[in-house]
Amino acid sequence: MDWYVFLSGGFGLLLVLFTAGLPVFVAFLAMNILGLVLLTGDLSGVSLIVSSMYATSTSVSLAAIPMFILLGEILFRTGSVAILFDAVDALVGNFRARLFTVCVVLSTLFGALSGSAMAVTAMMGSSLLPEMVERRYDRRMSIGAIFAGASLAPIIPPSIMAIVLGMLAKVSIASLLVAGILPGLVLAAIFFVYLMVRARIAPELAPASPRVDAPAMERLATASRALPFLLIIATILGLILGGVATPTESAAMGVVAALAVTAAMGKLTLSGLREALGSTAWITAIILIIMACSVSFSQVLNMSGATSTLVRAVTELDWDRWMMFAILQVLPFVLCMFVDQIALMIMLVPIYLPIVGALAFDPVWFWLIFLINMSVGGITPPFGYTLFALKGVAPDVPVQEMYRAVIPFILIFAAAIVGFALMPEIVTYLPSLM
Amino acid sequence: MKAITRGLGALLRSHDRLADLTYGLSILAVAAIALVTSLEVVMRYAFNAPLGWSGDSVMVALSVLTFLAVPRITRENAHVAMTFAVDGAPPPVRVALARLGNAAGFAVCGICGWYGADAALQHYQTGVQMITVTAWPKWWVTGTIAYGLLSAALYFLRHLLEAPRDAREHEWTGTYS
Amino acid sequence: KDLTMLTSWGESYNAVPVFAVGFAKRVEELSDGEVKIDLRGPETVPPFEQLQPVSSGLFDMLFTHGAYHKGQTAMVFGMDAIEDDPVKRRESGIYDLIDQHYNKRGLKLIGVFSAASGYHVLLREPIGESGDLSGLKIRASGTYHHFVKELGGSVVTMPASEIYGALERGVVDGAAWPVFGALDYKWYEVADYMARPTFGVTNLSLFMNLDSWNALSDEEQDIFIEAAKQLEIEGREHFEMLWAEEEAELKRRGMEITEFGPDVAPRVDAVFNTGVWQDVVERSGEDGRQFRDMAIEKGLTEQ
Ligand code: NA
Ligand code: NA
Repeated sequence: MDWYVFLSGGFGLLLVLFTAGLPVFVAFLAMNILGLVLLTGDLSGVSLIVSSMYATSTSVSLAAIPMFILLGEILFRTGSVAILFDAVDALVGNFRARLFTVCVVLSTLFGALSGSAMAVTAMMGSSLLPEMVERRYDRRMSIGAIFAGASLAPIIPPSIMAIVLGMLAKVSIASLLVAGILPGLVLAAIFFVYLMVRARIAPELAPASPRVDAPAMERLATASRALPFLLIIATILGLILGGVATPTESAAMGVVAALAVTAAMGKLTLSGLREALGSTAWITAIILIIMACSVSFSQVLNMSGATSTLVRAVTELDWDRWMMFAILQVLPFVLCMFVDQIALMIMLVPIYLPIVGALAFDPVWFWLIFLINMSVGGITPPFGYTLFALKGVAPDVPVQEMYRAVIPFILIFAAAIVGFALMPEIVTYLPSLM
Repeated sequence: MKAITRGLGALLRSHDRLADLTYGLSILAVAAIALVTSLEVVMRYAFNAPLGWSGDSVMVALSVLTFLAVPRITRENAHVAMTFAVDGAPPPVRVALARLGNAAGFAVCGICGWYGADAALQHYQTGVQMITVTAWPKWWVTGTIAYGLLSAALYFLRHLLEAPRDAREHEWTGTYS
Repeated sequence: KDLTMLTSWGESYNAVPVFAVGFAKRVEELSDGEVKIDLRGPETVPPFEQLQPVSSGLFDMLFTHGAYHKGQTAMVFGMDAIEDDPVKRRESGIYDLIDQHYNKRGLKLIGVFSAASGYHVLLREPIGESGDLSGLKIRASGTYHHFVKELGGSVVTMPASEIYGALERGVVDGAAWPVFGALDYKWYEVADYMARPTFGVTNLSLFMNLDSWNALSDEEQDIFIEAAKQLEIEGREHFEMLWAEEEAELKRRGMEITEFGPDVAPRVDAVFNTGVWQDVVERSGEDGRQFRDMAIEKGLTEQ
């Protein structure tokens, strides 16, 4: 079978199965089995799916997901998030977009710290989102803010994805990590401004605080109640930056800190803890079964040789430098609509390497923009782990609403990518100081 | 006839109870990951005596937590699905698509579960270990994968055979604990 | 004839172009283009899961490291404790022993390629007065477990992708790895020292599905073995050069040598080998024991 028939047929059929409402993991498994039967002639290849599931579900790096979800669950169920929001309300009650901006700031902060957009989305979705909806904030905007902030996770260091990319692309990992700081902050600032402007134009998106009229002392007292919450954040921050623990380990320590703090405040109950553990298991399983099946899908595509033939065909186009830049970035953007990002990087980067060299692109600049692109891949519909992570924690949010929520932010990302391409100093300035 | 129905009912109830039981184990696995991971940090940093086995056990726990929870998630139709097209379709189409989903789920989970069981059996018989620092039998994990997929297949089949209802009942229940 | 070869690494890992691609090219030349070998890497089948699909014939060949299938058998992993001399190795008869062992799993041993180098420990700080790894937290896979413990260190497990961050922030004091790697993974950016002497021998091994092997003509089988024999010698020489270059490059980028103490340095090979033989005997049973005894008897391993 010709590679382009295999590839377009594969993506097309997968889309049909998605649209028919099949569980996402079932759609992937069906495609994997079909692909392997086409490639090997019988069902014996199914053993490859099993071993791929084994390998994915035993990846220690994925332990970040349950740990951050558990942290979010405990914070939400013990009312810690409500206290934090009350504090913000008390401090800046008249500022309409305030909780949206809290949302962006927190998901950027946790994203930056953890490096896992999925983990942070699940954490924010289980803690902040219900509280925002409860307070009559527009759900779609809240979801968008969570996605946007969380997508900065792989861009701002520390970031496993940047380390894997640096290794594959043979660029200095230290430079790549540092290069992500400015673009990440610029993006966070743009999200911030966007949310403020939207709330200004349409005030119904964000209600005013009921506490504006309270006396200053009472407002201050409310704000000070958020201090224990800040203590939990400080624990995680300190452990990571202090070189005591890896991000995943720090999240586990964050769980311990959250338990200690909420127990001291008398807010921790045994049934609350059981529920938090229960929904963590539930959500983690929903996310990991999809990951296990979709990584296997990427592997079947690679086995067919179809994806690498496509990438080779693209890299052999003899267009001018900027057209080539555009196509080299658009290709992974499109592929990310269907396949796992890390698996895509492993296949794509080595094939890209010679062409990036031949076109004389600054490697740090090129690969950082590629990294941003990969990160956006997690939230581009129809397929994205970050999307599914939120769907896992907020099952009553329809998928189409998530898609609509994320589109403005994808457009902002796209515009920012163009900006970083035209103004490479934003990317290259900090690494140049090293 | 009645005896058969009763026997079948008992069988289905034990399937449900097993799914509940393994979901409980899955919850324990979450607690274990949190416990072991934070213990590792304390032992390594405060006592300069890393556990050594923490990463390995987290590996096992992560896989076990996933595949022990999958059957119950399947029972409650709580897997992520893109339902926007289905939601807008007329009821007969919705019912048909729900059936298609359940049939496909039964088939693919059944096939993969079968091969999973085959792998687990082979790992058990030949004593294959995981590539870890501490020796873990690989069939613990592959066996769990096989269990999760086969039990999920059975739930898909049960959904498929249940009396046709409005497909609305196949939507998100919104509960997850 | 079109064959497929699974490799445990991508083409950016230097052993793949030298040995795997090198083997495919050589076979194609020697067979006048009759036999073509197509490579598939870890993006197709995860590295630790590759032995089974080749045993069962989903792929024809496998290029891997013995530790990657240690869960099934550690037989070929034992080569890491065998003297690094391709000719002696072939003449000693241990190849036949290993080959027979893998035959039971539906595999044929085609060749074992030495990377003309072994393993080392990267460290954030130079080795202290103890002269060994006492008090240090070392990231290590099962391959180095015995070694690190025996030298007084404690083992920390984490995925390879987290080594960079862990070394950078001091979560661990060091990491054990084959001598090739610090450059590719950029660990020289976060660790300044490499411990010497190195220990053990890194070997890459090449297997073929037994049915695929039997389907080759006698002439083709000779070509395969001949290509492997040539590469075992020429590839090894090539790797001597690569290692010299790599070590020079690491030094140029600021890495320094730190020596094990005088009473530790002479033992490092023996300590490492002991760990390897423990694995071989434990995982490969009677065959493994026979392998170890033969290696000792022929003076091919230091204990
Ligand atoms: Na980050
Ligand atoms: Na996507």
